[in-house]
Amino acid sequence: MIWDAVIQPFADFGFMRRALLGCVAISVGATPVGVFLMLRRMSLTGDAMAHAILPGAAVGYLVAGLSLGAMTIGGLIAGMAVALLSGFVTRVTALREDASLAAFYLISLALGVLIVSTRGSNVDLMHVLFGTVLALDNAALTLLCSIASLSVLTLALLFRPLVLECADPQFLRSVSSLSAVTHFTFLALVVMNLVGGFHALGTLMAVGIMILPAAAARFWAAGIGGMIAGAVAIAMLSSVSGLLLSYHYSLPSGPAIILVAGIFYAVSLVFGPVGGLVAQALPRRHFEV
Amino acid sequence: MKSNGSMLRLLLLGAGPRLAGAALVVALLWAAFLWATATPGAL
Amino acid sequence: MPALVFQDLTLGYDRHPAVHHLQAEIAEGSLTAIVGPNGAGKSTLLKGVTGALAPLDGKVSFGSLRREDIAYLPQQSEIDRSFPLTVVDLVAMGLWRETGPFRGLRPRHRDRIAAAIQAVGLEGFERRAIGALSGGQMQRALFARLLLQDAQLVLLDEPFTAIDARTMADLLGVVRRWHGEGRTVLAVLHDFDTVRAHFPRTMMLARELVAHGPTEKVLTAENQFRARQMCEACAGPPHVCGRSAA
Repeated sequence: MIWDAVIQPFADFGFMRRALLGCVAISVGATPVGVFLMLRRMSLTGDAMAHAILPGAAVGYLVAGLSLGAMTIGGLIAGMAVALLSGFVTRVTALREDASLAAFYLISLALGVLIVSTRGSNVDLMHVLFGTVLALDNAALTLLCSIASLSVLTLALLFRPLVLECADPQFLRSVSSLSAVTHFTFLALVVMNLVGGFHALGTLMAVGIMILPAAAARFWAAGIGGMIAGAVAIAMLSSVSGLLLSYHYSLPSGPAIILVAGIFYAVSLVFGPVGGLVAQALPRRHFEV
Repeated sequence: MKSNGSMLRLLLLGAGPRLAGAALVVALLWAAFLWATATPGAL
Repeated sequence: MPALVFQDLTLGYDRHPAVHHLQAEIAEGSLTAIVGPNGAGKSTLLKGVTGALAPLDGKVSFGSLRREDIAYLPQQSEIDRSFPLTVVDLVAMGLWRETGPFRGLRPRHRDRIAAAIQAVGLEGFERRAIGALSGGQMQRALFARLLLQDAQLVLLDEPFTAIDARTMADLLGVVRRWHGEGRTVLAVLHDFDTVRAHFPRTMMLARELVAHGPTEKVLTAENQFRARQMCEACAGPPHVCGRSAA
């Protein structure tokens, strides 16, 4: 019975195995990046950049149709451009960074939808917005796994400066010249993972798998290592559960996966031992104020 | 919280062990890639 | 030989100078307090020494010191206290000059971390998250990190503000230890009693240099009056300047 419900779909169908691998790759690559985004209080930046990727991918689509390479390159260029531009606008104008990011992503989203709809059908638009996790071909899977590999190795290499850049940037600047390198490498990782995620889950959902498991894991682990491990585990569980739900109940798989991750977040918020609502109500421990 | 103390502290590890751990994860991922793509058929 | 020479140094933000044409030498191994009314440019001067703020005019020259030989404890630390770091993690980063971004910590490093934590009286708090520390405990942890930085020039900006008397006494002990080891210490302070009791030399600023020398010669009523007047003369709300000099 459990076999039928949980194992059978993956054993029987190649497309389910591919979908699972795609989601696992995104979980391994994007979720640790999401943990750092959350710890830097940049969760909204992730959201903004996910939207910013859309017009880039749309231009790629306009040029070459539903081509993996063209859409990826377009998305990467647009994502990096917005990441750099919004930082620049904040520096030279009085606008706070969150406001300038919101402006950029609203414009990007409108532009992206407009570009796709001038040429494509609604099916294509749905593809870009919500991904095609059940139709990942070898090229897409190779891309997803490569991005995840590069992301994990880069994080391992730059872990210490990245932690300091988040926790005490002033100190990092005083002892090392790696501050700027670390910052921009990290932004590049965010954009790369969002571009990868958008092929499977779509631009809107890609940021969900990045942020929601990270936010949930914060309620389970006090240390950063535990947080990353917890977030990846939650992301993988959400992927499996979401795919199965979409298989058994004919739901769109991207939203199903993100919704399950959302449920994990809600449960963690209430029952998580580190600062969850129940733990806070108990008088034994005090975390933060 | 206790387990936090005995756990190895990621921040105090050198890049060698960190990269070794990451390489293990990457190896597992590509093994999964081979498993998932061994059979044809996206759809 | 001086550790630091300020040559006609002018520092400021957006072309509004906060320190005017400062001309002074800080002797190697000296323990100097920097005092003055609010807005006198004390913190700005320290930022100028770290290199975080480029001079508008003049320059800071270091005797034989390199940038890595300077340790700096800012007043409002940018540390994100909610970040999941423990006391050990935070203190260990003081070893950056030896470990850099990539090298792991050896047992000898761990011994030195333990010794630094003990020197500031934080034994037993090693695994405590920095978010769960009191203000005084956090300051102790930051001093432990400074200890490990092993710097020839230590810059402290209001290090004893808002901490309890016992912590302050312990941390003053650390400052005396640095002095005894021949390191140069420059500390921005506002409590004159502390300065008189523990700092042999004092530099009084009011955007310009008011006086610099042995503490008892600098901390005179006359100098304090002059500093207050000079600060009221310069831009900024005068009542703020007057109140803070007391």
